[in-house]
Amino acid sequence: MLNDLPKDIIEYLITELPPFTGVLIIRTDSEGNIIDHHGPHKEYLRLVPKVGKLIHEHVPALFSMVPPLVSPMVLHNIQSNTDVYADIHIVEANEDEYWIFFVDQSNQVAGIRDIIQKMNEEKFREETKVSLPESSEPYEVFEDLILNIENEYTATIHSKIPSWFSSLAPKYYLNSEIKFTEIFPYLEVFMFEANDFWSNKKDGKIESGIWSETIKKGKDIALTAFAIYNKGKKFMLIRPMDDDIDKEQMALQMAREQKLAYEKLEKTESKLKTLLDYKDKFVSIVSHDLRSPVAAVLGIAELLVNDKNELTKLDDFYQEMIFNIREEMIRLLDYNDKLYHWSNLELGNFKVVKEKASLLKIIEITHRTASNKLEEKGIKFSTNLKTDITIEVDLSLFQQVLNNLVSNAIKFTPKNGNIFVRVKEDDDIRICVVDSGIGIPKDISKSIFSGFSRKSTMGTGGEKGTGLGLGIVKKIIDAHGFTINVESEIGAGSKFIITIPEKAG
Amino acid sequence: MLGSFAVGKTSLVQRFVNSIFSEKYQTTIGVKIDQKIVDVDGSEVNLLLWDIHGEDDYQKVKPAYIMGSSGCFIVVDGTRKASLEIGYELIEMAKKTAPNSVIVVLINKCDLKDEWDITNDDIAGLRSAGFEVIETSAKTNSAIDTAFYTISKLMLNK
Ligand SMILES: Nc1nc2c(ncn2[C@@H]2O[C@H](COP(=O)(O)OP(=O)(O)O)[C@@H](O)[C@H]2O)c(=O)[nH]1
Ligand SMILES: [Mg+2]
Repeated sequence: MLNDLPKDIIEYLITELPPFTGVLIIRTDSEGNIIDHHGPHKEYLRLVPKVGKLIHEHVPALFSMVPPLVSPMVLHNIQSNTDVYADIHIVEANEDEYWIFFVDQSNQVAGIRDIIQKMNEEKFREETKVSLPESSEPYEVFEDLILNIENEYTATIHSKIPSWFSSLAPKYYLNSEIKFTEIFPYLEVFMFEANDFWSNKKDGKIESGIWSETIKKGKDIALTAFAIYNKGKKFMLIRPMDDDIDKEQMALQMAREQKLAYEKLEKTESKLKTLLDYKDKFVSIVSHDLRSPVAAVLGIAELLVNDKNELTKLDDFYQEMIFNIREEMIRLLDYNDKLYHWSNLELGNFKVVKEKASLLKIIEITHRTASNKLEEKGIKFSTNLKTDITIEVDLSLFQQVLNNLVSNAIKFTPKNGNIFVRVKEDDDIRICVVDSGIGIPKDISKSIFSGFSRKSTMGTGGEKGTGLGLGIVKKIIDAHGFTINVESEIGAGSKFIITIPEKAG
Repeated sequence: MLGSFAVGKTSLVQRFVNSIFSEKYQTTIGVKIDQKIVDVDGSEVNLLLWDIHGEDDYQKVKPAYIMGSSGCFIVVDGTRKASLEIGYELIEMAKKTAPNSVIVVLINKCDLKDEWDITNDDIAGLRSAGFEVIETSAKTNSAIDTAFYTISKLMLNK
């Protein structure tokens, strides 16, 4: 076509006949070397196009664009000279000849240039925290859709159609009229703010909230809108915000997931606590209700044992059986009492009422309570306390602590051993129950106060234990605000240390 | 769709409009508007559904979003008591900014009834305050159509 036209006809076409006027045409070979040119090159290019020179030396944007991948190929809004923006069409004329058309878009671009320039400068400044030099070229972002607002519902499209918009709403072009609130119902809400802002007639912009649109199945994009007032004109710029949104979304998502996990944890914890309470209540009720039948059986056993007349009628085997029944019932009752006591401590069903008490007396009572068992195993009990110390404790509970510790010590001390209660007073008061027993293995000493140490509760004399004693001790000590620790060496004995802090004592 | 975060607003809309459900929780940023036409006793109603991001310390719902609405779903997560408190706050906000809007409360995730924190007393409280309350599950598609039908009908009768 053009090839067939004489050169001067082409010149006439593009200088005199609208709509061709003002178009620059450059012909190149398949490598982009300029063959010739027609039209107002001064408008489009800084230098005169030179025959034989590569086209991209004039327009860097055309680097490796000749030959184009498809023909015709159109590049939009390419800045070809200061203040000049052109659509560049590359058309294959024949295999080794290409026609490149420059169509001025500066007026189109000029309308939105200011806006984009301003917005980009701002964005650039935000991102880099430096200001752009005055003369710098704008870097264009053509992902924005710019609307020239006419009234509440209609606008004309004032920019090239970005690809996201053409997949959302095909059939719109530059200068198309558009009922924008139908396509973006979200903007109906933003228009309240925007109208307020425009009515002030001050240059500037306001930003909307974020909304998202589905551009194709499974693909959403997030958008924000800017209402812009520029030199008496109202614009709406709609901008996709992929990068920013991703970051914001991630942060928010993480914060919320954490919150959800935390809420769940809290819920599980309270559920668990309820369950544990149930367990303690159950134990408490069962041990309470078991007490009377056990005590009744024990009473009968006592009766039989004490009725010497009847007893002697039985042979030795049956006599021993009856003694065994009594022993086992005593143990069962003791275990049951401890269980009851322990579960109530666990439930918090007790109150510590502190009063002034004589430590010497507490130790004496402990000694007396344990005297039978001490005698049985030939264990020597002693204390270093000579002059009395007054401590402030719940007397009956604290007495139990010492009783438990000493009976525990007896259990794990072989025949003819020693149990020593050492009291030390400086700022704090320390009461140590030291035995010469078998000691406590390391793995047990860690869980020894938990109330249910399953391992090794068998004493040196074959005594059976409940494992509850030390759990009870720990609960009572804690409730007083005291501390208890254990030091032990296998084969050398154990030492339980109660510390009464100065102000608590 | 109003409610605390992660109560199931997006899931309810997606179930209703696109018949899909995803276990994955994806924070909604901003507003997503979907459309669906429903048949209410013979007349067609075009619903514009505004799925608004969840209310919490990080994102506050803008009253402007509610202003022009004809109806609001207040969505509560049955397994999270805290979401009911936020629901009550949003009810107050909706009443103030859109006095003509009808309100329907959805207690969502009724497939997890075992784990519900919201009690029958809570629900009775909402009902005695004059609200329509519907128990839904986006997961098992329980009472979703009922919910949208109910609010459409209330909006039409307004
Ligand atoms: N079990 C169950 N999970 C749900 C239900 N609805 C939503 N979810 C889940 O709850 C989470 C939050 O849902 P989403 O719709 O994103 O909540 P939104 O923040 O209110 O929009 C997601 O993991 C969903 O899969 C439901 O009815 N049952
Ligand atoms: Mg959501």
